[in-house]
Order: sequence, then C-alpha cells, then structure tokens
Amino acid sequence: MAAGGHEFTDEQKAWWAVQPVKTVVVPEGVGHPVDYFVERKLEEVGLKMAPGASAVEFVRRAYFDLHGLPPTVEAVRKFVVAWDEDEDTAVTGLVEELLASPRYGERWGQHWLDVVRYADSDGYRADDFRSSAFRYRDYVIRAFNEDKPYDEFVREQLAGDEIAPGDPMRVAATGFLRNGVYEWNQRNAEMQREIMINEITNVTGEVFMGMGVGCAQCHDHKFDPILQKDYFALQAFLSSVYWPDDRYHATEEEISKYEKDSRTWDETTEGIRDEMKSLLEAGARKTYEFRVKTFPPEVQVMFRKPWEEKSAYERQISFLVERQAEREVRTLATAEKILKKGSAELQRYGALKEEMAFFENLKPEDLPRAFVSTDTGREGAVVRMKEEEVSPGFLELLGGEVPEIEVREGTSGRRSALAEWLVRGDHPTTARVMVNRIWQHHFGKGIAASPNDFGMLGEEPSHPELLDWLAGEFVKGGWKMKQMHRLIMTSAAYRQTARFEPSNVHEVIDPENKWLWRFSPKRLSAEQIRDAMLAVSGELRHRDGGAAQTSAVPVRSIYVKKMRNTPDRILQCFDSPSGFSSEPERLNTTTATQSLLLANSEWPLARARAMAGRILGGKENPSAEDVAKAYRTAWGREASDVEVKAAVDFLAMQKTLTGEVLEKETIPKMSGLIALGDLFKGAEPFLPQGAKGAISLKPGSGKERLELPGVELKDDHFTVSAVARLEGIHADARVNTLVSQWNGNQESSGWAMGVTSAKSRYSPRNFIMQLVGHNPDGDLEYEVVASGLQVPLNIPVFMAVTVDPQPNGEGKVTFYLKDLSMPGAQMQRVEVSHHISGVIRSKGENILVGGRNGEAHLWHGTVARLTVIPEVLGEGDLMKVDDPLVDLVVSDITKPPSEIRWLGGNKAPKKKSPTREAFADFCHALLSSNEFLYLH
Amino acid sequence: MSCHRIVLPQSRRDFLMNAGAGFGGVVLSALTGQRLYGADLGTKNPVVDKIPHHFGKAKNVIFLFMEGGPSHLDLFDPKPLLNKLAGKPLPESFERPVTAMGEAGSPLLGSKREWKQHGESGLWISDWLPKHSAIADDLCVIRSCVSDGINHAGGVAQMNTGSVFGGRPSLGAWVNYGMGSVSENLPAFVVIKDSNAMVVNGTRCWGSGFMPASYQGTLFESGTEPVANLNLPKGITGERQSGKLAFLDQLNQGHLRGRQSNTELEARIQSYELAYRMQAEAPEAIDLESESEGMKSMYGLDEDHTRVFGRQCLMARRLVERGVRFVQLYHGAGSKWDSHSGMEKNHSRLCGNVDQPIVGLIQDLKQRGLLDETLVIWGGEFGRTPMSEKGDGRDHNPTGFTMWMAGGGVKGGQTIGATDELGLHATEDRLHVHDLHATVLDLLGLDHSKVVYMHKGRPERVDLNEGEVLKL
Repeated sequence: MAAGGHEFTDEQKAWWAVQPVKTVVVPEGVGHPVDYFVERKLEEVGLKMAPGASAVEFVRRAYFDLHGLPPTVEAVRKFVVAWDEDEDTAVTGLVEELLASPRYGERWGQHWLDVVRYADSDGYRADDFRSSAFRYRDYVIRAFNEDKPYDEFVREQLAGDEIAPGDPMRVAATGFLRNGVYEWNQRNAEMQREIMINEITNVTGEVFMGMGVGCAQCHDHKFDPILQKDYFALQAFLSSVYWPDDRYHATEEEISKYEKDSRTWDETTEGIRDEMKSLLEAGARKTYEFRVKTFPPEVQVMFRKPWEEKSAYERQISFLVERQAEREVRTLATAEKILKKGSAELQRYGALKEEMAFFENLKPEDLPRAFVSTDTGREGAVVRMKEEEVSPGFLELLGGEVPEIEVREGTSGRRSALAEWLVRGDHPTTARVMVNRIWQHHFGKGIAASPNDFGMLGEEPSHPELLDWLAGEFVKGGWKMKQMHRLIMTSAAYRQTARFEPSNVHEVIDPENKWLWRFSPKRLSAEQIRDAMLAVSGELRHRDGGAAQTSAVPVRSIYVKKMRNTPDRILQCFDSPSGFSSEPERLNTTTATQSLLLANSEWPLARARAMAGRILGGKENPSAEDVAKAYRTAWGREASDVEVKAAVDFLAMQKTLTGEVLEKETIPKMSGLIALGDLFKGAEPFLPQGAKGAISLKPGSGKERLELPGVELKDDHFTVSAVARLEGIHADARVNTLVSQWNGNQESSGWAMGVTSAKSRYSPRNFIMQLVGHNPDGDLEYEVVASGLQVPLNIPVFMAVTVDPQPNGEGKVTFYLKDLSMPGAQMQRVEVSHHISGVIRSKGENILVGGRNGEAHLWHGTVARLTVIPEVLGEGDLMKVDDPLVDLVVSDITKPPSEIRWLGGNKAPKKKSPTREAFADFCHALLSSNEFLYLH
Repeated sequence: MSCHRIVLPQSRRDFLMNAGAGFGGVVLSALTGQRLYGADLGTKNPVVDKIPHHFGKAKNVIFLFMEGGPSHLDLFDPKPLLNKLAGKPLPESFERPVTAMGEAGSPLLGSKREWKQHGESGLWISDWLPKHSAIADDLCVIRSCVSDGINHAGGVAQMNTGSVFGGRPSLGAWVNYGMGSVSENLPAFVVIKDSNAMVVNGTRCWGSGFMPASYQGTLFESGTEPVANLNLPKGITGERQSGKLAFLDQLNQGHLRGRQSNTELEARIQSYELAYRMQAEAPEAIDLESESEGMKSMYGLDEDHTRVFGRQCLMARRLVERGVRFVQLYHGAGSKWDSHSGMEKNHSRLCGNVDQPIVGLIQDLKQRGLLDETLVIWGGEFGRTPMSEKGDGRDHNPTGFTMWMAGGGVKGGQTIGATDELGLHATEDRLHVHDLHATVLDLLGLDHSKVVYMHKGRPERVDLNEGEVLKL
C-alpha cells in the first residue's frame, strides 16, 4: 500500500475502517444471526440479555422507531391480540405493516435529512427561503418508502443529473449537493466558490464514506491516514458543481406540453409584456450593473467573457455574480421602486398590469421549479493543491487507484465515477456506514460510535463482526434498507425490555450498555414529541409531501419549514439540529427551558385541550372510563386502578382551582367579527379585494347564527360557496351547519350545507348537503348527500356545492373542496347523485349562516366569504360572482355587513367548564410526563 | 423534591447534558481547583482530562457588541495621513482588499474628529466619546484586530463563534462549557439587545452549535416576560398551575420507580424545580427599580439618549453579581453601526448612546470590586475603511480594526498592535478573532487548547485550532 510514493505506517494500514468487509459466516442452528453476535459478546464479558419486552412496550417502541409516532389505541389492542396468539408472528407482521406505511419514510427520511444538513433556507443574513428545497426532502421520503436500493440512492444524490437527466424525480436527488448554506451578498466570489466546494467535499466524505476528510483540507489528516492530496483528489470529483436556478421539476414531455399550452398566452400578451419590460429596462440594467461592479475587478473580467470562452471555474464564478445581480433586480428593480411616483410611466405600467390580469385564465399553471445541481459543462473545474493540479482520485491508502471517467452530455461525468466507486460492493466503508446508521437509530448508538467519522481517534466498533456481517447482508440483499430493519427488529437483542435495572455488576462491567444487556431507554426526539402530541390530540394531518408549512399547521414536523436563522421553537428546544452541518447524532438535553415550554407555552396546552375534547366529546363530567381512555391514548397502555383513582382525585381538586377561565379571547365579545390576520393565509385569491375580516361563529359565544333577511332563493338549481375554517366539531352526531335555508324539519322543503361530527353515521368531518324536496313521485323526501371529502380542522378552505336536481330523479350535487393553506393544493371535486327532483327551495325561511333553525346544529369556526348564486356554475366559473344572490364579505371589522342580522341575544361569553378544564390539565400532565416523553 | 440518592452520570458529557439545564448544577473546577465532576469515574472521555486547573483573574465576561461595525478610524485609531490624503485614491503601496461594496478604488475619507490623549496613560480617544476620558486608564485598546468576514453575517458569526459559517458554539457557550455556572437559578449566558430588531444571523449568534443546548445563551427580552415561556399561560392561575405540576410530579415519581438507572428521568423532574426558581429569580435580576437614583444616573438612565443602553449595562452588572458568567449586550442590533453613508450623523448619535453607560458600567464595577474579576470587551464585527463610500460613509473593514478590553486582569491604559498608516490593514501584533477568543479563555484561566469538545469523533476548540493567546 505504498502507491503514489506515500509510506503509511503499519498502524495506519491496520485501520479497521479501511480493511475489506470480512465475510462472516454464522453457523447453522445458532438462532437469530444478530443474537449470535450480541450474545457471544455478552458471554465474553459475563453478562446476559434482559428478558423480552412486553407486547405494549414493544409495539410502542416499534411505532416510534419506524414511524416516529405513537401507536393508536386500536393498533395496540390489535397487536396484543396477535401477540397472545404467537409472539414471533405478531412481531414479523407488525414490522411488515409498519414498513409498508408512508409514515416510515417520514421518520427515516428525517434521519437522513439531519445527515445531509437539510434546511429550507439559505442561512446567513438574508436567510432566503428555499421554496423548492422540499423536492429533495420529498425525494428522500419517497426513496425510503419505495425501499430504493442504497447504491442507487447514493448514485442519484451524487450524480442524478448525469445518470438520469430526463427523470426529474431522480435529478431531484442532487439537491444533496446544494443543501449547504449560501451567502446572498458575498462579493468575494472566488472565496465563496471555494467555501461551497469545500463544504460539498466535506459533507460527501462524512455522509457516504464515514470519514472526516475536512481535516485534510489544510494538511495531511492529523489522526487518520488521509492525505491532503486525498482531500483534493476527492474534491476534484465535485469541483465543477453549480446550482442552476432555471430548471424545472418536470419531464421533457411536461415541459413541451407547457410550452405548447402557454403559446396562446405568450402570443396574446407579447406586446404588453414587451412594453412592461421596456418601461423597467433602463432601471433594471442599472441595478444589475451596479451590483456587478461591486465585485473585485478580476471577477468582473471573468464575468464579462463570452460563455463559450469561460473555463468551468469562470462559469462557476459568473454564476455566483449573476445570482446576486439577479436577486437585486428582482427585489429592487420593481416598477414601484424604479418609476417615479405619480409618473405617466408608472400609471402606464399599472394599466398594462391590469391588462395582463385579464389574460390570466389563458395561462397554464407554472411548472414547478427544481432544486438541483449539475456541472457547468463537460470540462471539469481544475483543483489545485499548493499550485499543483490534482486529478480526481481515490484514497491513497486504498491504493490510490485512478478512476475511469466518462464525460457526459453537459457534465464532466466525474461525480458518477465517484458514486460508482463508492457503491461497487468492495468499498470498505460505504455499506458499513449505512448499516451502522440503521443500527444506531434502532439502538440509540451505532456499532461504530461515531457514525460520520470512522476515524482512528474514535472508538473501535463494539461488535466488528456483526457490523461486517450486516454490511455483507446489505450488499448481498441488493442494498435494501427495509430488509435491514426486518433483520434487526426481529432479533432478541432488539426485543429486550428496557425495564431492567442494572445491578452493581452491570455498573462495573458496562455502565454504558455497550454490550446490550438491555434495551437502552430513549427520549423521544424533537419531531417525535411534536408529532406525538398532535397525534394523540387527534389533530395530526397526513399528507403526501409538498411545500414546507409553518409550525402552526398540524402536519408532521418533517414538513415544517426549517429556517436556519429562525428555527421552530419547539423543535429547537428539543435538540433538532440547525442544518449548518451534517449531524449524524441528536444531542439529548434535559433543560429548564424545555420544562418552561412544556408547562407554560400555549402550544402544548392547546394540544391538551384538543385531546380532552376528543375524549370527552360534549360531556361535562369526565368518568373514570374517560380517565382510563386518556391514559391509554397518551401512554399506549392500560392504567392501573391506582393511577385512575389518582387522576380522578386530581380532577376533583383541580376543578376547584381553574378559576374564572373565559373562552379564548379570540372569540369576539361584541361584534362577532374578527380580522383576517393569519387565519386565512393563502385564501387571498378567493377573497375580493376589500375583504378585511371574517365572521366568527362559535357555539356558546352569543354570536352563533345570523340570518340574511329578505333574501329569497327562487330556484332549485343553485351554487353555494364559502371560504371558511372549521375549528371544531360536535362530539355527537349533530351537523356543523355552515349555511341553510330550512327549518330543520324533514317534512319541510329546504337545504343545509355542513360537515358531519364525531359520531355521524357518515364518517366525521364529511362534507355533506342535506336536501328535502320532492322525489319523482311527487312525495317529500329527505336525503343526506355525502361527498366523502374530509374537511380539515383549523385550516382555511374553499368549499362549494352545486345543486342540480333532475325531474327523473337523476340529479346530482357536485362538491368542491380546496385546502387554501397549501400552495398548489388541488381543488377536490366529487359528484354525488341523489333522488330528489325538485321543490327544494323553502318558502318563508331566511338563509341562515352558522346553523339552521334551532340551536343544535351549529357551525364552529369562521367564515370569510359566503356566496349563493341562483344557477349551477361549472368548476372554472366558481369564482365568477357576477350576479350573486348573496356575496357576504366583511370589509370593515368594526361594523357588521349591512345584510346580516344576528340571531339570539348577546349572551355573555361563557365560562370554560371547570370540569373540562381540569380534564385538559390532566391531559396536559400526561403529554408532559416522562412516560410520554421516554421510551422506557 | 429533594433527592438524596447519588446520581452517577456515565460521563462528564452525560452529566453536563443532564445537569438540569445549564442553569446551575455544575460547579466549576477552574474556580475551586477541584477536578471536574466525572473525572474520577474512570471514563475515557477525552474531555475530562483536558480541562485546566489554573486560576484566571476573570470569572465573568461582559461583551459590549457594537453591531454593524464602528469606525476605528474615528474612535481609537487616529491616522494623520488619512486626512492628508483625503480625496485621493488609496496609494498603490497599499494592498487592495475585497470589500463588501467594492469601494477599494473610492477616494479616501478624512476623519473629522478631534483627537486627544486621555488619562495618565495618554490613551488616544476621539471627541466622539468624551466621557471615556474618565476610564482611559482602565482600557486596553487593541488596534490590530482582524476578521475573515467581509459581510455582517460572516463577521458577526465569526466574532461570536470563530467561524464565518454558522453551526459552531458561540464564545459564551465555550465559556459556559469550560467554566460552568455559578448561579443555580439563572442561565450562565445571557444576551440583551437594545431594540426589537434582531441581531444579524438571529439566535445562532449565541447558540451552542454542536454542543448541548444547555450551553447556549438565553435572550432576555424587555417587557413582562424576560425569558420565553417564563410566565404562566394566559388565563391560568398560579394555584391551578401548581396543582397541575404537582400531579405531573406524581406521575413522574410513579414512572421513576423501577427506572432509577435512567438519570435523565430524575434530571427532568428536577428541571421543573429549576424552571420554577427561575420564574422567581429572573425578573428580579433585571428589575432596576431597587437601584438608587444616583446609580441610575451613573448609567445614564436619566437621559433619553442613554437610557436604553444604560439599562442594558446596569442589568449586566446585576446579572454578573448574581453569578451569570457571560453577558452579551448588543448595541445597534441589526447592523445599526453600519455607516456606508452619512457616518457623521450615524456615529454621533450611536456614540452618544453608549458613552455614558459604558463609563458608568466600568466605574461601577470598579467601585464594587467587580472589575478585577469581570472582563469587559468592546467592539463590533469589523471596523471601517479609510476609503469613502457614497461620499460621506465608509465600507466594511475586517483587515484591521479596534477592540478594547477592560478589567478581568487586563492591564489598563495601554494600546496594543497597530494598523498601517491609513488604518486599512493590521500590521503589528495582529489579533485574529481566533486569537481574541483564545485570549478571552486565557484570561478566564482556561487553556484554549485544552478546552476541547468531541464532536463527530473530532476534538473541537473555540479557535478552530488556530488561535494564539495574546498576553495583555
């Protein structure tokens, strides 16, 4: 091993991590192979495994490990039944079931995102939001869910653009190369490039090779046999990367279809756009040039060369200059900033803009932007070490082999050569690194303790043979990660209990549980804590990827916007990493700050109240069974009689302490109106310009229902639409009625649009239309038309129905529902047929908002717009409110719209029920308890 | 909730992570001369043996961060040649720096200041800081500071964390890690800003980077809730909260039975106790009502233009008195000292804001006998260029700028290092930010090369292995 002239010492050559993966044979008949290794080690040191975990302990562990979520009460029950029949079958079945769920990728994707320093923002001062970075996050989640072979996973992240340029889903993997921080205003472009390329080199070494190569950037590695030359040889594979901003996350077909579809718009608006552009042109050019000129002269020289004459390096530098100049134009060269206030030009610009808006409907939806990396061209950017050029090459210690590089269309081909070397099967660290990570996230600690750096400074692996055996199985099995989970989770080592207290012997021999004499207790991670609270409170919403959300949206934490400079407070508090560097391990702190957050912040308390509401329904007085149910929901086990009694006693005492708690202050006391604020973020396109507020409809608030006097719907064919939020449902079967024209009697014509409640025959939160009218025989009939669309809680939605009865009884109701909080969410549309043929309109009933006749079927939430139109509109016309019967909007939150009249008196805001508040406190204690926060 | 059982942490690192929060718990070896907790447990954690035992004079740090970059050329580093060459381009003999706004070729801008020597030591201070005359003999002015960050983000990040990138622990976190906390009920590292504006880079300026969050700084806000979540949730009475926490404790005690080996469980139970004590103590620590009128005016609380920073300085003294180890005060949060144009107006105002409060702080610390053990550091993320920008401003200058230290065993009334004749590049005794950090640790009695934190299998230091101590 003295290739390239460097002499390594014997000790260096003996470094365990660079030895070939040993073929380890597990003898026949020794039981589970994993246990074969673990037990031998335990025997050597004179210890043995703890007894197996109970069914409830195991099912909770397995759920948190594979999904990052607690098992539901039903899931625990089902598993216990299966366990009682046959433990092994139950375990195998559970593991299969969990691996098949999309929740699996959301948990294991998070581990990977930590390692690849993923975040949704640039870092540095501006900390710009990376609106399409989520494509990479979704790629990772999908890769885990699809059980993408790890070798392919590596290839795609390093070189997806080279190996599958036409497949946007695989090119998205190259987001890996641009997850690092980016400084938006660094004028020292050459230094910036160097920093970026170094960062990519370092992270590649840590993530895929398990080597802290960064140490060799300035000198030969002080502890490991990695030479400075090795560093730059590795860098030479990666040195030509840049971050294009003009790529689409779309296939060629999609792009050409888009181009075709937009032709009409292009041609129609060309003149207008040209004129708009010319109005801004001078200012934009000035802004652009100003920025370019702030760069050092030599950088400007590179930038101004014709593209074809630029070297790869100069292209990278130019890209960095261009990026800043373009950002400047985007933010500073707007009409408002460039054109003089009140000038003819500005007026003209405004007029053109309005004209453009007129053609908006001709324009196809924009193609999604990609978040990818690629090379600047076929030429590789030269890498130098102390002036001397270094070619791409592999570690000297491993023989310093010279790679074969095939130049690609538009790229240097270097990165695929690196990827191929890493995954060719006999690479000493690639498989070891990944199986070690998988082991680490099951047991809390890797077999090799430092998962990103197998360096000589770290401890040697605790079970080297096991590590090699797992690595061997991994490669043999086609690099399938799910198979590794199966192997590990069915072992007795994994199935041990954590409920085993060490004796003095354990304390002396192995206080750290390195040899696995029990299952190590774990605290839940930041994401697990937030997600578990949302899960048991019943608020968690599952989704299939998509744009990052604010933390207030009850989606899983992996979908919460990760801004480097303003991290989410809950997640940060529980040690979620900040995304500045690859983090293979979570720290696990116990701080007073966490306790303050759990006890005093509004967020956990709101989850506790939701959980209490979910369990109690409309009930005033919690029973012992409700108490038991709360324990079961939070802890996943049956509470003992003593525990139930303790809670019952607590409730009795606590209800005397709750004091005068009024319903939340957001409930308007007088006006029933509330500012739009953040409540309807995203709803803007569905609201008219002057909309300022919304009508708050809360049961018990004294402002529950209103009527629209004098409005008469004279037709049986009509459209009702609303921009609304559903903020609670009834615990029983009552309907949350948003709008109606009906006395509520099934013997009278009428209609009501609403959402079902917890105990409805139709599933909860089902968007429904109740109709009473004539059937084709001329008899009055009541029919519930259910869409099957589930209305989310606490989210602004657009919801609409069109009612179109037919004389032959073959009419239908068309339902529309769109989540307005998620940019790009689809409008859901469902047609449901019904028998009613006409005479739905009711005479003498006003249109009511917030309920129907009587006080039972109230809406709980907010409505920002309500329209009733006496005709059946098509999907494209839903927002065309030309001649509405009703178009209710709040344009002044100090004064109710003139067309409404509140029903019922102004009751005083209701006191919160002391018994329910006490129960919420009980739930709050459960959610803050150690039994909830720890797997132990 | 007292517990007499002895908890044996598995390593120093475990212990520090679970010591109930970095708010108390760990008593410091550097102060007591004892070996650190964990050192006797026979574990192999490399950190344990590398913590030094020597005494430093300084025990606390107050860092006065003038964010945005004050002009050394107009405050502490007079350059006669600059006024002579005003209006001319930078002479060829000076190496041209890359500057943020590309002003390397702009004409030089003379300084409009009047300069005098002050105190017995004859320290040079400009007329922008007239009151500083009274503390001239306490200041050790370092004119040769150097940083790598040409922009605010990189500069502020490096001044705080040693690296122009994010992700590393801040100086306060290193000090907290190396020295531990004296206060039981207050965070060891407190940050106070002068406005609602955020410091460049946000909370990571006082973050713990790759270290446990217990070392990070805690931002004290003005208003009724100095620390996030310190107050009870809206509408919840103290009685009700106590009832709930008592029940929670009951649940946790029940859970602990049969799981005592898991020391985290006990630590979490105790962290509620700590949180509770903090609720009582933190508001008191920064409540200035009990201070005398004379004291208030000493810090400038009786004048509008000095009130804000005066309050910060007075709070810093109170916090240090209560055992807070590291206090960082931001003046001009959000780059307010940045003066690309209109520097006269900008600096006149900002200097006026800080002049009296800083003098008050130094004198008060001195009269209380606290100055010897409290290191006060003044400076921004960089200085400003001799070249002009937009006619009457200066661009960022990280290649040569001034900071000063006082107290903490530093010899006052001296000037260290020098920049070139135009104040562009540091020339003598260059003090890079890494050196500065190493020096701060040294003054605290810590050997910067031995305060090591293992991260990802590598030994990490405050100075990225590059700093050297400057003996002051």
